[in-house]
Amino acid sequence: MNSQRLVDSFCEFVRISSETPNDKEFVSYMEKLLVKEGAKTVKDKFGNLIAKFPALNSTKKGSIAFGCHADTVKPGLGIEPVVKDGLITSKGETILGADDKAGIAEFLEAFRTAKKRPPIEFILTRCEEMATEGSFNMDYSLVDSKIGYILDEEGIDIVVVGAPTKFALYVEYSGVSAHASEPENGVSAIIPAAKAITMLKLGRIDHETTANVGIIEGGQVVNGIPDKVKLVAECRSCDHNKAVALSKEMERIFKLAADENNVKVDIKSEIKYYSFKISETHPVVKYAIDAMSKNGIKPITEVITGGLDANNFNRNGIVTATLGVGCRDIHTKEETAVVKDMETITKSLIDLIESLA
Amino acid sequence: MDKSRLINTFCDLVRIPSESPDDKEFIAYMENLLQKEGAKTRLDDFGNLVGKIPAKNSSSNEYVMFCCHGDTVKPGIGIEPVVEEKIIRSKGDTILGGDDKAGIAEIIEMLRSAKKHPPIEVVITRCEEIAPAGAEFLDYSLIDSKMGYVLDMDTPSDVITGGPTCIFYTVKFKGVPAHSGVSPEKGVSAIQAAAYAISNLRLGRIDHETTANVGVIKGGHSMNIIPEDAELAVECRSLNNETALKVFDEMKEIFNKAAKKFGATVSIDATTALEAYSIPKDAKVVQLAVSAMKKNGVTPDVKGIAGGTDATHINHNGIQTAVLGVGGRMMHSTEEYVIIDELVAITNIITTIVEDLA
Repeated sequence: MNSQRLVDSFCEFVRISSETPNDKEFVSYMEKLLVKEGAKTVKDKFGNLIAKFPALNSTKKGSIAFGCHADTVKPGLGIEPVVKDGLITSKGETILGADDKAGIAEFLEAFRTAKKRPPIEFILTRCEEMATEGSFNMDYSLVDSKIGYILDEEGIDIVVVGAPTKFALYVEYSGVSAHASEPENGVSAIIPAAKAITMLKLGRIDHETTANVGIIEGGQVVNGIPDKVKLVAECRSCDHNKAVALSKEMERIFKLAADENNVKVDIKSEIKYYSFKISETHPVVKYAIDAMSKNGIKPITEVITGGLDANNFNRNGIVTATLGVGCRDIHTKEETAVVKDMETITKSLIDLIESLA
Repeated sequence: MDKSRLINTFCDLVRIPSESPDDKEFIAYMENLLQKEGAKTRLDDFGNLVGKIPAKNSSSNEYVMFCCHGDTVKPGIGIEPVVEEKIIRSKGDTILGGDDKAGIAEIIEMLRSAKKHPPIEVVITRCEEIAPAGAEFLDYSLIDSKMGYVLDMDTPSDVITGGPTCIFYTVKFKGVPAHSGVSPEKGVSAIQAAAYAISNLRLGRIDHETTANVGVIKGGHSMNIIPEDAELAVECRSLNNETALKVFDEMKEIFNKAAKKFGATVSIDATTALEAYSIPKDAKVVQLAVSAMKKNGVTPDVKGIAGGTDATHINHNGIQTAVLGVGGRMMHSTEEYVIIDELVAITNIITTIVEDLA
């Protein structure tokens, strides 16, 4: 493993901006780079990149998927990485982009260093930061792997083996506008929205289930009865059936408030990702734990409450665990990558790739 | 009274854009125009225009004020008036600006055609359509009148003798942000606190002269974050000042209770407050208008209204002022129009008023 090359690649990647959804340029850049490394590449309709590498010093036929996402959150334009005392940060006006470009750099370094490997499919998804839209829309017929790893957590010791189903609810109440001094001529859309939110059960519902109203916006002027209110809510549960039931219950309450207050309501309920749970004895987990342990990491298997590209991979038949990339404070201007952790992760990835060969 | 001169004046006035707060060019135009009519003019610090016209064929030295606002709502740039047989409208892509330039045209025509009148003060305020309103900041030391008329209602029969107490305020709830899927226990939803409060408020019609409204709500910025902020724009108004204050107190208490219930904090800032006023029906300013209307065949409709106008500020500054119509309809929309017969009727009514005062 060449530590300098690892850090250089990383710095090069973060300098190419890829704020969601404007990540196509970076995907093209990566495609050229991966072709140079010997990959055959294909992009699906959404623009997700799949790079297929042949086996090396191995007769294994079944390929293994490795996945990262290409996009970053904002502010991600003009990122200038600063390497100092074993830490990499941005200059302070932007995020760093270690989420998820540290993972890309680590995979690339591990791939370059591994002395043997099975066939590998490296998958670079778009728009992960938009509720995993890229992997949600990916053409999985282009992927052969049955197991895989996504590099997209912060800590070096984590192995994500489960994640929830999430529903997004977009609700719009429509009343009748009027001057506030003539309430008889109007019907407020804010009132049913408020009553619905008051009736909803929000926050922690049970150990694996949550709900939230994240955004509300309505009305234009203080002296007008508001005729439009929009709100965005979500619910999630690691038990898929609970998530479905909760989303239906929330819809029912949003409708009820509309009926009780004589306004129209338009509700759009969208499933954002599907839950998954991998057994801790599954080979995909065991291989990762072994490779990590070899490099002095004490792995922790975890069911998390957020959505990942892994939700979509697992739903589409690729049993996929998610590993860390060695950074912290993601989605902030203080985002930091820890060079030593990046090195350790790269070493475990090398062992992982070689053990799968 | 010269009907075609009145129409031409009106059309000239609306062609000069004056979307609030960009109404200074129009004020300058009006200053020039009033000077040509023999007025001595002054601008106060806010930019409101006061023009003093000496008495004509009258020994009266008691000023009477006529007041209109110079600004318009949007879209008010490039207004091209279309004069039809009975009405004047815009070409359709802008407002007309009859609110309030019809009133100004009527005052100008009155000055030109009255055979006699007492000394008159013409006041053109800025920014009536937005806060801060010009009349709120008018330098009243420049004004000698003890009574006057604001021309800013719809029809020739309108005589407005009272306006409400209006309390406009913003309510800001502050909670604690947290990832809604990872650690909702750590969060406090500002939206939830706001919603709970709104659910408990008395809104809409509260009594025959009192209303309350939550006009705007805005909170949160991300589906998966427990929202830290929620902001509301709220008002309550009543023709009875005490009732308005009582309702405001009641609302404040509900907001505070809701914040407490959810562990959020709340701050309430009253942004604008108008205080109710009421002129007795037998006051001279009302009786003169009523009598002038009857002389011109119009049946007066004397009433208080629930909306605030420049007259609220003017009355509180010691000038007993009724609000009359200008002859416009569908104000604040691109369908706005004025009725030519009403422009004429109102010009005749205010001409009668000044002649009776002469």
